[in-house]
Amino acid sequence: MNFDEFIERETEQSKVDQSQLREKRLQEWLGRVAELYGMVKDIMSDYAQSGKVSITTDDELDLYEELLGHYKVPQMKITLGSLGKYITLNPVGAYVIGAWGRVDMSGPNGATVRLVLVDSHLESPRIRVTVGVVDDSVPKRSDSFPAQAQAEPDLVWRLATIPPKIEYIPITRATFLEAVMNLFGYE
Amino acid sequence: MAELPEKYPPLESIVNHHKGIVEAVKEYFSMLKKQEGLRWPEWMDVGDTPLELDEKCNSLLAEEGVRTCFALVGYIEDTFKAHFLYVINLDNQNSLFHIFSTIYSRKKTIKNVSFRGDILDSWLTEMKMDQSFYDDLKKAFEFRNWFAHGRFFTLNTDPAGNASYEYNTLRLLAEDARKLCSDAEIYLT
Repeated sequence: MNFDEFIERETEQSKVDQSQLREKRLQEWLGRVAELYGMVKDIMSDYAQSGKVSITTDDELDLYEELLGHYKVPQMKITLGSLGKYITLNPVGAYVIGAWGRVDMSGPNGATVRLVLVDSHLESPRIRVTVGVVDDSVPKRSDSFPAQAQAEPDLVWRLATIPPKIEYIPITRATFLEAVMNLFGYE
Repeated sequence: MAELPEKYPPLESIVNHHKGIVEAVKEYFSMLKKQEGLRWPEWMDVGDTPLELDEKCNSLLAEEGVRTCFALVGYIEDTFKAHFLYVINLDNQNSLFHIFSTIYSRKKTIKNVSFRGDILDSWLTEMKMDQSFYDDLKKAFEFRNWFAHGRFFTLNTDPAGNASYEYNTLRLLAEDARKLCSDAEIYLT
Protein backbone atom coordinates (compact mmCIF):
# COMPACT_ATOMS: atom_id res chain seq x y z
CA MET A 1 0.00 0.00 0.00
CA ASN A 2 1.43 3.40 -0.95
CA PHE A 3 0.66 6.69 0.78
CA ASP A 4 -2.10 7.68 -1.67
CA GLU A 5 -3.89 4.41 -1.07
CA PHE A 6 -3.38 4.84 2.66
CA ILE A 7 -4.95 8.32 2.61
CA GLU A 8 -7.87 7.15 0.52
CA ARG A 9 -8.53 4.21 2.81
CA GLU A 10 -8.38 6.34 5.95
CA THR A 11 -10.72 8.93 4.39
CA GLU A 12 -13.21 6.24 3.44
CA GLN A 13 -13.00 4.70 6.91
CA SER A 14 -13.60 8.11 8.47
CA LYS A 15 -16.73 8.57 6.34
CA VAL A 16 -17.97 5.14 7.42
CA ASP A 17 -17.27 5.95 11.08
CA GLN A 18 -19.12 9.26 10.83
CA SER A 19 -22.04 7.64 9.10
CA GLN A 20 -22.22 4.91 11.76
CA LEU A 21 -22.04 7.47 14.56
CA ARG A 22 -24.79 9.52 12.95
CA GLU A 23 -26.99 6.44 12.53
CA LYS A 24 -26.33 5.35 16.12
CA ARG A 25 -27.20 8.81 17.47
CA LEU A 26 -30.32 8.98 15.31
CA GLN A 27 -31.53 5.57 16.47
CA GLU A 28 -30.89 6.54 20.10
CA TRP A 29 -32.88 9.71 19.60
CA LEU A 30 -35.79 7.95 17.89
CA GLY A 31 -35.73 5.40 20.70
CA ARG A 32 -35.98 8.17 23.27
CA VAL A 33 -38.96 9.67 21.45
CA ALA A 34 -40.63 6.25 21.39
CA GLU A 35 -39.91 5.94 25.12
CA LEU A 36 -41.64 9.26 25.76
CA TYR A 37 -44.64 8.25 23.68
CA GLY A 38 -44.81 5.03 25.70
CA MET A 39 -44.89 7.01 28.94
CA VAL A 40 -47.67 9.22 27.60
CA LYS A 41 -49.70 6.23 26.44
CA ASP A 42 -49.36 4.65 29.91
CA ILE A 43 -50.50 7.86 31.59
CA MET A 44 -53.47 8.23 29.26
CA SER A 45 -54.33 4.53 29.05
CA ASP A 46 -57.42 4.69 31.27
CA TYR A 47 -58.87 7.52 29.20
CA ALA A 48 -57.93 5.81 25.95
CA GLN A 49 -59.58 2.54 26.99
CA SER A 50 -62.78 4.33 27.98
CA GLY A 51 -62.80 6.16 24.64
CA LYS A 52 -62.43 9.61 26.19
CA VAL A 53 -59.22 10.24 24.31
CA SER A 54 -57.64 8.75 21.25
CA ILE A 55 -53.91 8.58 20.67
CA THR A 56 -52.24 8.20 17.30
CA THR A 57 -48.68 8.29 16.02
CA ASP A 58 -49.48 7.79 12.35
CA ASP A 59 -48.29 11.18 11.12
CA GLU A 60 -44.62 11.81 10.59
CA LEU A 61 -42.58 14.99 10.75
CA ASP A 62 -39.67 15.71 8.43
CA LEU A 63 -36.82 17.06 10.49
CA TYR A 64 -33.40 18.32 9.53
CA GLU A 65 -30.50 18.69 11.90
CA GLU A 66 -27.02 19.65 10.81
CA LEU A 67 -25.46 16.67 12.54
CA LEU A 68 -28.17 14.13 11.74
CA GLY A 69 -29.30 15.23 8.30
CA HIS A 70 -32.88 14.69 7.14
CA TYR A 71 -34.98 12.12 8.94
CA LYS A 72 -38.59 11.27 9.71
CA VAL A 73 -40.00 11.00 13.21
CA PRO A 74 -43.54 10.16 14.36
CA GLN A 75 -45.77 12.88 15.73
CA MET A 76 -48.11 11.95 18.58
CA LYS A 77 -51.64 13.28 18.45
CA ILE A 78 -53.90 13.12 21.50
CA THR A 79 -57.51 13.91 20.64
CA LEU A 80 -59.84 14.69 23.54
CA GLY A 81 -63.46 13.64 23.47
CA SER A 82 -65.57 13.72 20.37
CA LEU A 83 -65.15 17.45 19.71
CA GLY A 84 -61.89 16.92 17.89
CA LYS A 85 -59.75 19.17 20.05
CA TYR A 86 -56.27 17.78 20.27
CA ILE A 87 -52.72 18.31 21.39
CA THR A 88 -49.64 17.20 19.52
CA LEU A 89 -46.22 16.07 20.61
CA ASN A 90 -43.74 17.35 18.07
CA PRO A 91 -40.12 16.20 18.26
CA VAL A 92 -37.87 19.21 17.63
CA GLY A 93 -34.40 17.73 17.64
CA ALA A 94 -31.68 15.77 19.37
CA TYR A 95 -29.04 18.48 19.12
CA VAL A 96 -30.42 21.29 21.23
CA ILE A 97 -28.87 23.63 23.75
CA GLY A 98 -28.77 22.32 27.31
CA ALA A 99 -30.49 19.01 26.70
CA TRP A 100 -30.18 15.75 24.80
CA GLY A 101 -33.39 16.28 22.90
CA ARG A 102 -36.63 18.21 22.89
CA VAL A 103 -40.27 17.49 22.11
CA ASP A 104 -42.82 20.31 22.07
CA MET A 105 -46.31 19.57 23.33
CA SER A 106 -48.66 22.04 21.63
CA GLY A 107 -52.26 22.80 22.45
CA PRO A 108 -55.18 24.10 20.39
CA ASN A 109 -54.49 27.75 21.19
CA GLY A 110 -50.86 27.74 20.18
CA ALA A 111 -49.50 27.33 23.69
CA THR A 112 -46.54 25.01 23.99
CA VAL A 113 -44.81 23.08 26.74
CA ARG A 114 -41.28 21.84 26.28
CA LEU A 115 -40.39 18.28 27.15
CA VAL A 116 -36.64 17.90 27.40
CA LEU A 117 -34.34 14.95 27.72
CA VAL A 118 -31.90 15.73 30.51
CA ASP A 119 -29.58 14.27 33.12
CA SER A 120 -31.73 12.69 35.83
CA HIS A 121 -29.66 14.42 38.52
CA LEU A 122 -30.45 17.91 37.31
CA GLU A 123 -33.29 20.06 38.55
CA SER A 124 -32.51 23.02 36.28
CA PRO A 125 -30.28 23.75 33.27
CA ARG A 126 -26.53 23.87 33.68
CA ILE A 127 -23.92 25.24 31.38
CA ARG A 128 -20.34 24.15 31.12
CA VAL A 129 -18.02 26.70 32.69
CA THR A 130 -14.79 26.95 30.78
CA VAL A 131 -13.83 30.54 31.49
CA GLY A 132 -10.93 30.80 33.93
CA VAL A 133 -11.82 31.74 37.46
CA VAL A 134 -9.19 33.22 39.75
CA ASP A 135 -10.89 32.24 42.98
CA ASP A 136 -9.96 28.62 43.61
CA SER A 137 -12.91 28.17 45.91
CA VAL A 138 -15.26 28.57 42.92
CA PRO A 139 -15.62 25.47 40.79
CA LYS A 140 -14.10 26.03 37.39
CA ARG A 141 -16.31 23.57 35.67
CA SER A 142 -19.68 22.04 36.25
CA ASP A 143 -19.44 18.31 35.81
CA SER A 144 -23.17 17.90 35.48
CA PHE A 145 -23.74 19.58 32.15
CA PRO A 146 -24.76 17.08 29.50
CA ALA A 147 -22.46 18.21 26.71
CA GLN A 148 -23.11 16.19 23.59
CA ALA A 149 -19.47 15.14 23.31
CA GLN A 150 -19.36 13.71 26.82
CA ALA A 151 -20.47 10.27 27.83
CA GLU A 152 -24.25 10.06 27.92
CA PRO A 153 -25.53 10.36 31.50
CA ASP A 154 -28.66 8.76 32.91
CA LEU A 155 -31.25 10.58 30.79
CA VAL A 156 -34.87 11.19 31.62
CA TRP A 157 -37.72 13.17 30.08
CA ARG A 158 -38.79 16.23 32.05
CA LEU A 159 -41.32 19.01 31.67
CA ALA A 160 -39.39 22.29 31.50
CA THR A 161 -40.84 25.48 32.95
CA ILE A 162 -40.28 28.75 31.12
CA PRO A 163 -37.49 31.27 31.84
CA PRO A 164 -36.34 33.06 33.91
CA LYS A 165 -36.36 30.25 36.46
CA ILE A 166 -36.38 27.04 34.51
CA GLU A 167 -37.09 23.93 36.51
CA TYR A 168 -37.28 20.33 35.39
CA ILE A 169 -40.48 18.69 36.54
CA PRO A 170 -40.64 14.89 36.56
CA ILE A 171 -43.30 13.50 34.23
CA THR A 172 -45.89 11.77 36.34
CA ARG A 173 -49.56 11.18 35.73
CA ALA A 174 -50.41 14.27 37.81
CA THR A 175 -47.86 16.64 36.23
CA PHE A 176 -48.57 15.50 32.70
CA LEU A 177 -52.34 15.80 32.98
CA GLU A 178 -51.91 19.23 34.56
CA ALA A 179 -49.71 20.27 31.63
CA VAL A 180 -52.38 19.08 29.18
CA MET A 181 -55.05 21.08 31.01
CA ASN A 182 -52.80 24.15 30.96
CA LEU A 183 -52.54 23.87 27.19
CA PHE A 184 -56.32 24.11 27.06
CA GLY A 185 -56.26 27.22 29.21
CA TYR A 186 -57.13 25.59 32.54
CA GLU A 187 -54.90 26.55 35.46
CA MET B 1 -11.23 67.72 4.88
CA ALA B 2 -10.61 69.82 7.95
CA GLU B 3 -10.98 68.06 11.26
CA LEU B 4 -13.62 69.34 13.64
CA PRO B 5 -12.31 70.66 16.94
CA GLU B 6 -12.15 68.18 19.81
CA LYS B 7 -15.19 69.72 21.43
CA TYR B 8 -17.34 68.15 18.71
CA PRO B 9 -19.02 64.91 19.69
CA PRO B 10 -16.93 61.83 18.85
CA LEU B 11 -18.61 59.63 16.27
CA GLU B 12 -15.98 56.97 16.79
CA SER B 13 -17.10 56.30 20.35
CA ILE B 14 -20.61 55.44 19.13
CA VAL B 15 -19.35 53.33 16.22
CA ASN B 16 -16.76 51.52 18.32
CA HIS B 17 -19.28 50.87 21.06
CA HIS B 18 -21.64 49.37 18.52
CA LYS B 19 -18.92 47.22 16.98
CA GLY B 20 -17.81 46.06 20.42
CA ILE B 21 -21.34 45.09 21.43
CA VAL B 22 -21.93 43.25 18.14
CA GLU B 23 -18.71 41.29 18.52
CA ALA B 24 -19.46 40.51 22.15
CA VAL B 25 -22.99 39.32 21.37
CA LYS B 26 -21.77 37.10 18.55
CA GLU B 27 -19.05 35.64 20.76
CA TYR B 28 -21.56 35.12 23.56
CA PHE B 29 -23.95 33.22 21.31
CA SER B 30 -21.09 31.25 19.86
CA MET B 31 -20.24 30.12 23.39
CA LEU B 32 -23.86 29.31 24.12
CA LYS B 33 -23.98 27.18 21.00
CA LYS B 34 -21.01 25.26 22.34
CA GLN B 35 -22.88 25.10 25.66
CA GLU B 36 -20.23 27.10 27.45
CA GLY B 37 -20.42 30.16 29.63
CA LEU B 38 -20.46 31.40 33.17
CA ARG B 39 -24.05 30.56 33.95
CA TRP B 40 -27.30 29.61 32.28
CA PRO B 41 -28.77 32.85 30.82
CA GLU B 42 -31.95 33.85 32.66
CA TRP B 43 -33.81 34.64 29.45
CA MET B 44 -32.92 31.46 27.61
CA ASP B 45 -35.19 28.47 27.17
CA VAL B 46 -33.70 25.06 27.63
CA GLY B 47 -33.69 23.00 24.46
CA ASP B 48 -33.31 25.75 21.89
CA THR B 49 -32.12 24.49 18.54
CA PRO B 50 -29.06 26.12 16.97
CA LEU B 51 -31.40 27.83 14.49
CA GLU B 52 -33.58 29.23 17.27
CA LEU B 53 -30.45 30.49 19.01
CA ASP B 54 -29.37 32.21 15.76
CA GLU B 55 -32.77 33.90 15.56
CA LYS B 56 -32.43 35.15 19.15
CA CYS B 57 -28.93 36.40 18.37
CA ASN B 58 -30.15 38.23 15.27
CA SER B 59 -33.06 39.72 17.18
CA LEU B 60 -30.70 41.00 19.87
CA LEU B 61 -28.34 42.45 17.25
CA ALA B 62 -31.26 44.15 15.48
CA GLU B 63 -32.30 45.77 18.74
CA GLU B 64 -28.72 46.89 19.35
CA GLY B 65 -28.71 48.35 15.82
CA VAL B 66 -31.87 50.37 16.49
CA ARG B 67 -30.49 51.69 19.78
CA THR B 68 -27.26 52.71 18.11
CA CYS B 69 -29.27 54.48 15.42
CA PHE B 70 -30.93 56.49 18.17
CA ALA B 71 -27.49 57.49 19.46
CA LEU B 72 -26.37 58.38 15.93
CA VAL B 73 -29.29 60.74 15.37
CA GLY B 74 -28.43 62.39 18.68
CA TYR B 75 -24.88 62.70 17.42
CA ILE B 76 -26.07 64.40 14.22
CA GLU B 77 -28.03 66.99 16.21
CA ASP B 78 -25.06 67.50 18.53
CA THR B 79 -22.79 68.09 15.57
CA PHE B 80 -24.94 70.77 13.97
CA LYS B 81 -25.54 72.47 17.32
CA ALA B 82 -21.87 72.38 18.28
CA HIS B 83 -21.03 73.81 14.88
CA PHE B 84 -23.64 76.56 15.34
CA LEU B 85 -22.12 77.52 18.68
CA TYR B 86 -18.64 77.40 17.25
CA VAL B 87 -19.56 79.76 14.41
CA ILE B 88 -21.36 82.40 16.47
CA ASN B 89 -18.40 82.59 18.83
CA LEU B 90 -15.90 83.23 16.05
CA ASP B 91 -14.33 86.61 15.34
CA ASN B 92 -14.43 85.82 11.64
CA GLN B 93 -17.66 87.49 10.54
CA ASN B 94 -18.31 85.79 7.23
CA SER B 95 -21.69 84.95 5.70
CA LEU B 96 -22.19 81.85 7.83
CA PHE B 97 -21.51 83.89 10.96
CA HIS B 98 -24.13 86.43 9.91
CA ILE B 99 -26.75 83.79 9.18
CA PHE B 100 -26.29 82.05 12.52
CA SER B 101 -25.90 85.31 14.45
CA THR B 102 -29.16 86.58 13.05
CA ILE B 103 -30.92 83.45 14.34
CA TYR B 104 -29.19 83.76 17.68
CA SER B 105 -30.13 87.45 18.03
CA ARG B 106 -33.73 86.68 17.23
CA LYS B 107 -33.92 83.82 19.74
CA LYS B 108 -31.96 85.62 22.50
CA THR B 109 -30.60 82.44 24.09
CA ILE B 110 -29.10 79.29 22.68
CA LYS B 111 -31.80 77.23 24.41
CA ASN B 112 -34.42 78.91 22.25
CA VAL B 113 -32.65 78.03 19.01
CA SER B 114 -34.53 75.18 17.38
CA PHE B 115 -32.41 72.55 15.75
CA ARG B 116 -34.82 71.61 13.01
CA GLY B 117 -36.66 74.92 12.57
CA ASP B 118 -33.66 77.25 12.83
CA ILE B 119 -30.37 75.49 12.28
CA LEU B 120 -31.32 72.78 9.83
CA ASP B 121 -33.69 74.96 7.82
CA SER B 122 -31.08 77.69 7.53
CA TRP B 123 -28.68 75.09 6.15
CA LEU B 124 -31.26 74.30 3.49
CA THR B 125 -32.37 77.81 2.57
CA GLU B 126 -29.27 79.91 3.21
CA MET B 127 -26.45 77.46 2.67
CA LYS B 128 -28.01 75.41 -0.09
CA MET B 129 -27.81 72.07 1.68
CA ASP B 130 -28.54 69.24 -0.76
CA GLN B 131 -32.30 68.64 -0.66
CA SER B 132 -31.96 64.85 -0.56
CA PHE B 133 -29.53 65.10 2.37
CA TYR B 134 -31.98 67.39 4.14
CA ASP B 135 -34.79 64.89 3.50
CA ASP B 136 -32.64 62.05 4.83
CA LEU B 137 -31.99 64.03 8.00
CA LYS B 138 -35.70 64.71 8.44
CA LYS B 139 -36.45 61.00 8.10
CA ALA B 140 -33.77 60.24 10.65
CA PHE B 141 -35.45 62.58 13.11
CA GLU B 142 -38.82 61.02 12.42
CA PHE B 143 -37.18 57.73 13.38
CA ARG B 144 -35.89 59.29 16.58
CA ASN B 145 -39.36 60.52 17.51
CA TRP B 146 -40.75 57.06 16.83
CA PHE B 147 -38.12 55.51 19.09
CA ALA B 148 -38.21 58.16 21.82
CA HIS B 149 -41.96 58.51 22.15
CA GLY B 150 -43.00 54.89 22.48
CA ARG B 151 -42.50 52.70 19.48
CA PHE B 152 -44.59 49.91 20.97
CA PHE B 153 -47.49 52.19 21.74
CA THR B 154 -48.10 53.33 18.20
CA LEU B 155 -49.57 51.08 15.56
CA ASN B 156 -47.04 52.45 13.12
CA THR B 157 -44.13 50.18 13.99
CA ASP B 158 -42.16 51.20 10.93
CA PRO B 159 -40.83 54.74 11.36
CA ALA B 160 -42.43 56.73 8.55
CA GLY B 161 -42.08 53.76 6.26
CA ASN B 162 -38.44 54.50 5.57
CA ALA B 163 -35.20 52.69 6.26
CA SER B 164 -33.37 55.52 7.98
CA TYR B 165 -33.09 53.51 11.15
CA GLU B 166 -30.73 51.03 9.58
CA TYR B 167 -27.32 51.27 11.29
CA ASN B 168 -25.10 51.63 8.22
CA THR B 169 -27.40 54.23 6.64
CA LEU B 170 -27.39 56.37 9.76
CA ARG B 171 -23.66 55.98 10.33
CA LEU B 172 -23.04 57.31 6.80
CA LEU B 173 -25.50 60.12 7.43
CA ALA B 174 -23.63 61.02 10.63
CA GLU B 175 -20.32 60.97 8.78
CA ASP B 176 -21.77 63.22 6.07
CA ALA B 177 -23.11 65.61 8.71
CA ARG B 178 -19.70 65.84 10.29
CA LYS B 179 -18.07 66.38 6.90
CA LEU B 180 -20.59 69.09 6.03
CA CYS B 181 -19.85 71.01 9.21
CA SER B 182 -16.17 70.36 8.89
CA ASP B 183 -16.05 71.59 5.31
CA ALA B 184 -18.06 74.65 6.27
CA GLU B 185 -15.30 75.53 8.68
CA ILE B 186 -12.78 75.71 5.90
CA TYR B 187 -14.50 78.86 4.72
CA LEU B 188 -14.39 80.31 8.20
CA THR B 189 -10.68 80.02 8.82
